[in-house]
Amino acid sequence: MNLTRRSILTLLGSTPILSLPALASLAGPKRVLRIAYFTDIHLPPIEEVNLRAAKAFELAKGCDLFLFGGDNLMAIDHKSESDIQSHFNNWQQFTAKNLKKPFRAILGNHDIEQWDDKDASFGSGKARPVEFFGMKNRFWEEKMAGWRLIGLDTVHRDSNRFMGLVDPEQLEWLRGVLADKTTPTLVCGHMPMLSVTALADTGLKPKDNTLPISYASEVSNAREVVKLFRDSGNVKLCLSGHTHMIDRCDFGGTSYVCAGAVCGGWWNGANQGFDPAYTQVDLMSDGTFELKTIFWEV
Amino acid sequence: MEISRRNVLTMIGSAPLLSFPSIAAASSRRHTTKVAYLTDLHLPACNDINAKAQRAFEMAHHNDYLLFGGDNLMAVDNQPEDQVHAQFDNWQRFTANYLKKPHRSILGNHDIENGAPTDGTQLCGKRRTIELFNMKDRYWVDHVGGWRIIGLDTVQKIRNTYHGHVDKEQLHWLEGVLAADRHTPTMILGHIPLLSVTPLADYNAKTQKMSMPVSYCSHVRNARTIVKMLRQAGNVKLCLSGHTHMNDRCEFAGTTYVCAGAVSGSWWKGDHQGFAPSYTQIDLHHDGDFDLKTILYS
Repeated sequence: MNLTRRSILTLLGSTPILSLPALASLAGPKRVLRIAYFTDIHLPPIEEVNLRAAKAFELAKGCDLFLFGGDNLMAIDHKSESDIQSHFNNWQQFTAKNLKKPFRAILGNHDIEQWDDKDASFGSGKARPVEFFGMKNRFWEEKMAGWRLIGLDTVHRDSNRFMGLVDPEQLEWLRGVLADKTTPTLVCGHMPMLSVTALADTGLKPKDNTLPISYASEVSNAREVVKLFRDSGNVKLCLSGHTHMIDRCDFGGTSYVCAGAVCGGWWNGANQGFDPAYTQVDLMSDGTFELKTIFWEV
Repeated sequence: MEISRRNVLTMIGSAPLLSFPSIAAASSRRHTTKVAYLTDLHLPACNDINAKAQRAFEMAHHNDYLLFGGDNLMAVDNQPEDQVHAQFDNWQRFTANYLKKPHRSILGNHDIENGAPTDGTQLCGKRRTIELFNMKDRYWVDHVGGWRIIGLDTVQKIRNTYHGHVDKEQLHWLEGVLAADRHTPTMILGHIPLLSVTPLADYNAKTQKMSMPVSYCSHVRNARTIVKMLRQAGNVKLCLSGHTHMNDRCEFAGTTYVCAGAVSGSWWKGDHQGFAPSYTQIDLHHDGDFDLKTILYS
């Protein structure tokens, strides 16, 4: 990376002790939006975990927007109605107390209710959590501070399992949205589009001639989506979570970031060496961005 | 002068009252060794292509040091002896004319005489190219400008094909090398990627019902063992590969894994899946930081 005026300004901006009035005269892109990307919080209805999670929210409160990357709730999939209700109630009480900024959300596999056998649509099991997290739809887009934010619904039923997928209806919608090839764009989806975390996962079982990357850990039709991003040219950043591991992969003009997990190893310390973390995303006025991983519990 | 964000952060962190002119002064005092990483050159015994390759060599000679990442020759695997000789002779003449800087090399799958009668060792089929490329051995360690460079032999014969694999003997050696020095900033080279999203993004990869199989022909089979060793070592900053003729840069657990495309692009027929012929320029700063730049030389 070149040491430009812009990057120095950004760095200085994040170091408030530093006061260099001379730099103020250097014109350059400004930070237009600071996002706290919280993925895989896995908030359970347990008071002591709530108290720990509150620290992460407290640390991030200076942001302009919280973005919840899915698996916001511990798990409501295949759970009884009373369990689901206690998850919902706990989230409501927790956020009433600890969330003071605007937020947007996407769904993770554990935010989706058990598949409804009478509902074969891609929205099956998602109606309540979509409403609960105040989402416009299971996938959405929004213009904000000169940027465009796109939230994808990457989790779908595959017989008795779930799989990473961007369904045909959503793909068609995405193609239409990305016809705007000028607005700098941030995409988020719970399951990774491109990530080496699945390849590095110590739990992965190798076969004779291949490492099988399961569709339970990466979007099955990711290559179609990646091609859309490459063709569009303005998708700067694509955020995911799900694997509770952290990487950043730059490919074809887009930075794909797997942002770890706020809960680390499901509230039991680190997962495969990755401590509980969230990602601070600064979107700049010139379409660039700055990322910082915050290990909030260390 | 290029300088990375991490380095500026470090400098600011260590001296919070540093003024802007002092930062500039500090950066200009840094010592840097400039290295060109040329992978997948696929040099055939063909004059038209020698002329194209010459252009890459000329530009790369602005660096202090050249590294060849394997598949330096078009293909000597399963070729008749006269074909092998033609490529060896061409390489010798070409490098005698155009290679004027210190250089090191590793082997790619196409640099190995796969048709050679087996002798039960990992050197089988590699002896003549090891000599041709002036390598100390099929894997090696060297020091350049305050950095340590490790060259790996990532291609092993298996049945009638090859696998990306680091054999036991080499793994044991690597473990010893890494344990012997956990301070010197280290760069590792291996032809087949250790961690890369390029096999996942490959349009030609065949999917299965429940997984995306990443073939050991495009990814090192026991990569996770090596990645674990690199994480434990802590001073492996950079790991370079090639092989897939695609470019990515993946940051995982303190190491930056770079798949450096191909000097030959699509085997001297333009772009490969949208990636133009390129080599990678690496500035190795003696303080352990580095900067990368993809050079689209044509």
